[in-house]
Amino acid sequence: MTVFLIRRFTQSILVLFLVSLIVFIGVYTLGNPVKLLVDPRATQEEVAKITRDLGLDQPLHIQYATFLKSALKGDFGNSFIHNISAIKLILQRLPATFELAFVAICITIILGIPLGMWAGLRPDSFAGRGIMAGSILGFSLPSFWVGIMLVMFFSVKLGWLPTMGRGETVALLGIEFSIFTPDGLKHILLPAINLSLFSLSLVIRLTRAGMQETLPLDFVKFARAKGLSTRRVIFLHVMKNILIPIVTVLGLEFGAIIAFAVVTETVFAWPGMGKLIIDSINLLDRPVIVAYLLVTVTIFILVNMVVDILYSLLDPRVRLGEKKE
Amino acid sequence: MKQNRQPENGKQPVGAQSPAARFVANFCESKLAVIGFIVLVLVIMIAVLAPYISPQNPYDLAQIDFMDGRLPPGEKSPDGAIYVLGTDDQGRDMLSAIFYGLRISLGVGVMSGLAALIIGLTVGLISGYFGGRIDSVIMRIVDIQLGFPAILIALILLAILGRGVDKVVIALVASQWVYFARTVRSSALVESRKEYIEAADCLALGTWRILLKHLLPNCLPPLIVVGTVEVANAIALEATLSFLGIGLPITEPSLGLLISNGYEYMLSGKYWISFFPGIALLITITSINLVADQLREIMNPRLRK
Repeated sequence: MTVFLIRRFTQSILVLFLVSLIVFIGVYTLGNPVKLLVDPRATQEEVAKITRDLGLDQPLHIQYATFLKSALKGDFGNSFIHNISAIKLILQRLPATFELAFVAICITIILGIPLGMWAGLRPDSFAGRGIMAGSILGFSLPSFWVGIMLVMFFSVKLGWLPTMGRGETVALLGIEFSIFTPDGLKHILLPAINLSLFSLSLVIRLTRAGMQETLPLDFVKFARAKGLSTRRVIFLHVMKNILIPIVTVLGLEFGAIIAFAVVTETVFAWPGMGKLIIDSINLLDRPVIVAYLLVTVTIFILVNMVVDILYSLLDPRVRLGEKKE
Repeated sequence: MKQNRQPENGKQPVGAQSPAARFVANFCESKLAVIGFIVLVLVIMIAVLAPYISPQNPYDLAQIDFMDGRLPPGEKSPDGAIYVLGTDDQGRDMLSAIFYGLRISLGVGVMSGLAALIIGLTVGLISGYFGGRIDSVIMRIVDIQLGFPAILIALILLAILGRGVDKVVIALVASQWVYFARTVRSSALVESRKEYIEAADCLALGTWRILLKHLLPNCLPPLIVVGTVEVANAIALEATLSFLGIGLPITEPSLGLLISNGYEYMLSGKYWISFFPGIALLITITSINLVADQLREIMNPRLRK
């Protein structure tokens, strides 16, 4: 376990370093942000001064060294557009994205596992087939288009739910939350449903497959023979066994949901960091782009690591760090 | 006894058929897949023939009338023309715009799917055949990349590269080659331990000859399935990126861009500008997925009856 953690940690650092290098070189060799920042009537000297002030006249490796040094201190420079620290800008938007992702994961769990169990218990029933057909749709429908259709139907046609934004928020421990106000809840509902569709379909299929694999096993028959109630057999004994892959996938999906939040946030104008990155890409706001990508990659690496550890804790058969040849 | 042998007799001709005929017969077992295939052929034909079958050329300024802008489906325009699926804000016929958009979406999807296939195939074959250090390095890279969703990889690259058809293709290829590499590697690993490869090795055939002539054909079946799925994924991903405004430039109006363009009008109830391109996208992706599902069914020896 310790060996695994150390290896995994060094690998993560290496990946982060590589990503930072690729992103830095890529982002910083393209386009000239000075042109965006200065008045078009600025003289040559003024342009040169701003270039010097931003450190853009230095050779690339020196720029990278400077960048790395301050990045390790958590300083990615100031946003060219908002003129505040890029990392601060992202951390300001992070709670909104996390809140959305959290609600989406909750929807996935609350709906996905029971629906999958139902479809697994009664695979040939009308409901079972319907659930499976729905999950196929959840895979093939492009998520941004589903989002648009949700807005069109529930907001424009029926006028039940608001179309965009976070609504009223309430501050808790210095962080703004939407889920604790009725208006905020109304705002988060559609984006969260939209965001959860893919992982919902995935969890439904996984749960169903798990049910179908586990139900014919001997221990289930034995538990039944012992005279345990069906409810106890399914919710205690079967559940324990099918939850292992589901927890793993849910962990990984949390990362995917944060990445896909880019799409949902754009559709619903949700003020999270996904919306921020798209705006920043369009405005060539380099520090924000670099900071976003590194923050997201870090989140991913952390999530993947936690999932691996959880997996070994849940399933004693899995031994981390041992070669499986 | 006689009755028992009947089905066997009935099955005999199936075994005697040519492989191609058996393939077709197997494919037709699923009605849904056949429907998917027919729809897919139609979609491809529409995309190829778009300039000849569209009611107008939506990007020829002489043919579009600004006065016809934002007409709902089926409504008569002031000069008597009827637009079946309505018009967009510039007065373009949506049906024609969708036909032309399909061309771009399918083109980009197929192009990047093929490029990713070739790269993934090469890397996977090398990795699976040579094994050892090369294999572990390549697979480590693949594993790390698989830890990130395709959309994030594409996003990182497009943030760096900017907009453009070539850049979108690069981003799609970079985010998808791993799926091919992994598939090919696993079948190459199995195949390269079989006797015919050993025999080829003993004959001292050139490495490339063994790879391309002996190993490659036997690794193809699972690859075809992944390839079909990935083309659908590439189309969906391109549409998503274009919708976000970081994909194709507005000079290449794919379905994703059409949807994005219609989005701002949707809030005022003009649904058709983004609704119909979305339906076209949906039909395309679903039909490809249906075909891919059946291909997987046929080519997976474990599922074969």
